[in-house]
Amino acid sequence: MSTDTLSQVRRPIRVTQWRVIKAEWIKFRSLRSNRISTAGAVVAVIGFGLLTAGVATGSIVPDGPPGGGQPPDFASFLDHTAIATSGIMLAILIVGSLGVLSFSGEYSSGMIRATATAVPKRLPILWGKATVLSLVAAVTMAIAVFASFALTGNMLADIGLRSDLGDPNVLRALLGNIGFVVGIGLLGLSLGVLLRSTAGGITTLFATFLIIPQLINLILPDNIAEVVYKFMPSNAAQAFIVTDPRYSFGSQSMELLTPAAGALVFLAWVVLLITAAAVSLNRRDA
Amino acid sequence: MIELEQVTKRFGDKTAVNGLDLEIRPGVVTGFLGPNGAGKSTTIRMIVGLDNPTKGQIRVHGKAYADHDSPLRTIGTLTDARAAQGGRSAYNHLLAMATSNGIPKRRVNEVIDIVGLTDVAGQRVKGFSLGMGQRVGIAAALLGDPATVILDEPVNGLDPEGILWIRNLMKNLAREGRTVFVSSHLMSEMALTAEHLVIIGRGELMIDMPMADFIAEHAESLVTVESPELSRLVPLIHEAGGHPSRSDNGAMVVTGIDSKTIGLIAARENIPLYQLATTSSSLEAVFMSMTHDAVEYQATADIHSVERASE
Repeated sequence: MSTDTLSQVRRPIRVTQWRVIKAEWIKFRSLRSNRISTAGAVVAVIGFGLLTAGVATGSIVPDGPPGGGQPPDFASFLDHTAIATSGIMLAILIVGSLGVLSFSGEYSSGMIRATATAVPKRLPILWGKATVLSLVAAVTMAIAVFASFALTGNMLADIGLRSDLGDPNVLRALLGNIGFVVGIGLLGLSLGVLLRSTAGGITTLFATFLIIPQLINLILPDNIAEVVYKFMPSNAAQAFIVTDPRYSFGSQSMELLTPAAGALVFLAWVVLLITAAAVSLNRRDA
Repeated sequence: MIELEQVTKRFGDKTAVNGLDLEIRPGVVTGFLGPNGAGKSTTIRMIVGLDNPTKGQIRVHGKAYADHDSPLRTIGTLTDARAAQGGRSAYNHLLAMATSNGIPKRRVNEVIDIVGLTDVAGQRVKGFSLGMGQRVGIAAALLGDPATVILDEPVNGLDPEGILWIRNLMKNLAREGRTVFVSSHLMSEMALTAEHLVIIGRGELMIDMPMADFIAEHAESLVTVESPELSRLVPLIHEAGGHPSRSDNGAMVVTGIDSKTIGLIAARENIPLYQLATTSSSLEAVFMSMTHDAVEYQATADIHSVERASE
């Protein structure tokens, strides 16, 4: 058990934030499920974009509703950006789950004991995981979203729907979609810390942040629902991921925030949850 | 040197560790003994910062474990259960841990060699046996070449070969001058490896002394005597200061005087002896009687009464 190796090391052996980020990157890339999921998110965005573009141009004809009527005339089939990012909800599901798993997986496997004895100050672990997840999500979604935009553009040119990156709101909406995925990943990460359970984290993430907001106008009185609705994270995100509110999904009768306000509200949710996660990680027993 | 000062840990209304004062001295193997649920794992988890004490202070070389620049270089820890994610290879698991502390890659390969996992280091931990999993944990504990190694129940569930390996490893670590703090619920295991003994029961300190002193104090020698004329021998043994009692198989068991004295008495009085043998009372029995009241969950009927009932 020679001590030579470690006494010969030039840089001091100690924990730094940068080293924890590198360690978390090793952990992320060394799990096959992470690699498959990440690739899956890219494929889903591009594939779904192409599929939707096919439907919009009429080159793919979906089965009509029972009775043989015309397929419904979705407003989002009329906008190049909305078509290109039509698969983003799949990416949300995948990256949100990856976020939850990056902590809940440590708790369920006992890995957290190894991680926390190596980095007992703990907060660098949270920042390390957040950095790795954000970078992975941002880079892969940038590739997916811009590739989908370019590929669908060729198809949509035929029916005159093609937009240009320089057109109003297009670049903002595309970047918004990337930011949306990154943000949901971070919300998932925070819930992984807070709930420590994969099933609990994923359920909470998608129930509270994606499903409940759609039900708000059914549960709450109209005047309250109007306000609550637009401040929910997913609806705040709707405000900046589309070029125009009419292309958003969800209830068309409900008003959305402005893109800038939506981005701020969404960011506030992320900051709030990460702060709660940081407090929890620091205080609770590992 | 690890110092615990009035350390208490409560989980809700349950007290796991209660006012524990302890110094773990460098350079020796300290055996940390207690029945299941005595608070051993909780104590170890508090030392390395996994659990926060409710009250009290723990210092590792003068400061909190978390305040050390390189925790892995300060204490190597083997926790009580597996601490690796199944889908990751042993190599990547160790590499990630090493990277966070700035420990170079070649040290990862070194510890893999030390624990004998070289051939399977690239395989996912998921398929590892209990013994191989334990080796991954030991490799992780050795990554920082730490002066102190804490092992929580390292032989639990291991086969005899694995137990022997751990035993030799602990001896080697101590020979290299490291502080080894090892928990167990088996006295016999500790008597073989530990120089210093700490016993806790229900979260409270019961014994903190050198193993040799503990053995001298508690291990009584028993002399088994078989003779056709026990009735003549018994008063003579009483006279010499011995305490005879009947054993289960009809022989006599004597405490208080040694076999030499009994042999000389028998020769002088011309009493034939069939057997004269010295045995040590098991330390396990001493430990069990000592911690009997402190055992968290006791079987309602003790083993002997069950045996008697079935006879």
